[in-house]
Amino acid sequence: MRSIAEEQFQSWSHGLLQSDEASYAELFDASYDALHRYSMYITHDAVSASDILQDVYLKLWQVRETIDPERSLRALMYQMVRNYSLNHERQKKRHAAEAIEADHPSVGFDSVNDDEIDAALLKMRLQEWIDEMPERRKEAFMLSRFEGLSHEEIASLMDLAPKTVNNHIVLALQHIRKKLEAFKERESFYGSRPSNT
Amino acid sequence: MSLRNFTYEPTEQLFDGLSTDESIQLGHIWDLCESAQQTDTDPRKAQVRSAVLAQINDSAAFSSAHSVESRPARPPARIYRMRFRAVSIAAAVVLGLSMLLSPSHDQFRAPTGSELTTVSLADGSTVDLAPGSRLIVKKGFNDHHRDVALIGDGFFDVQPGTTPFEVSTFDATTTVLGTSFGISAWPGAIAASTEVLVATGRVQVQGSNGEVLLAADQMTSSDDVTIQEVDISAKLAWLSGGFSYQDELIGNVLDDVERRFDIKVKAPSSIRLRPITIHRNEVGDASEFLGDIAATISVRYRQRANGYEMYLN
Repeated sequence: MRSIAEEQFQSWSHGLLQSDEASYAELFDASYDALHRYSMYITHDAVSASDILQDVYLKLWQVRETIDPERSLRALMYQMVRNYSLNHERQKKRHAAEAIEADHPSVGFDSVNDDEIDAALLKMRLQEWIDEMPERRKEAFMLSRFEGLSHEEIASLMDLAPKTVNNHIVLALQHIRKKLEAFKERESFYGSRPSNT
Repeated sequence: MSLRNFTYEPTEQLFDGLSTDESIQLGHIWDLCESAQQTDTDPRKAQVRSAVLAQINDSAAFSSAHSVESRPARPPARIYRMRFRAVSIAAAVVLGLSMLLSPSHDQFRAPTGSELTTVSLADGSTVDLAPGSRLIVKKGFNDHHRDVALIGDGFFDVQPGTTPFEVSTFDATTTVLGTSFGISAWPGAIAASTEVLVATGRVQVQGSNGEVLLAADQMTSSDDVTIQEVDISAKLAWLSGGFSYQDELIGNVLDDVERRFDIKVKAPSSIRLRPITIHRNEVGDASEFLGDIAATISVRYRQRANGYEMYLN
């Protein structure tokens, strides 16, 4: 979504104002993947994220006549996805039924080829280390690292000072570095090891 | 030293106030994280798209659009998520792996579709591997140390020696002097942990939550590290071509069946997340055992192109 020019969003804004379905479909196609990933950062559940996006896109259509083309449509959509996702998380806490799934987020690369298993293991670890960070740090880091949002955009989305966003990202990188070092040491699996004798 | 070695462009801004060394290290971590990006698209995108577009089409009067009725049914694909993700990464990780992998270890792979693969080590110890399992023998084995790593199921018969024999698994380390014991460590299993069970002698197990010393006929699991008494011969049924499970999630059982017979077994998560207790000696073919499982939990199964499918009635 980063690669999409702000002007493109402006033209979609104008399309929405005129209830142009083609613009709406184009916007859907161009923005869905990134927004789905963002919702997943918060919900950790692909199916819930799809449901949330369905609600967000419908809501966007309902409010299309109130859209201000002078303001960033992209920022608006990130904000909607964020609010809906956080809301979903709040409701989920009330229904603890999904606990069994939430407990085991990283399951099942069972059919991966042997050649891919080491890569998969590292990737799995990286994702675990990212996952175990405080929620807001993780969110800021992932928006910056994976979605290419600027510090200013993240700051306004999450209602933080840009400096704080910066700190979150540096702390996140330091956290991952620490974990990686411990991983290399403890699971001397793959590193050569000094002799005991 | 230039900071431009990294793909991250506004590096100077991000690392303001940090030392050059620190900036370079963090820049590398930034690059390494590339591989953790989830690049797969939502399999339900097309469904959501048609649902959304259908609704805005109906809603000439857009007031009705608020109720979302035609939500696509939840697919059972949830627990396969990691699998798709994992498959899609290969290329991006090369850089990260070069930090972790040193090429000089020997690696033994037990082919899927086989019953048992036996590896003899330089110190006279032997390891029986279940299908699909891997044993990595680290460089300098028997000269300087006796360290190996295991992914999967292995039964170790360790010759006594002066150097400890050490088995690393993804979340535990098992240390012995001379004894025989089994380890089960599939990092991809549901609720994955390393299980260690002792046939003879004593074994020390270090998990992330603590450490425990096991004697014969005892087992432990890396996630709680407590001692449980166990029927060794049942637990090691795979050594003689059998299957034996006590309250095991069916998803993990099916993974074993897939590796043993080199087939695919499809099942929805409503089946995979159900526990089962089942014991069979010398299972000859997959359909016989899958039939037993299906009967035990009252579901059905049928043959498919490259394996089987279990489904609810």
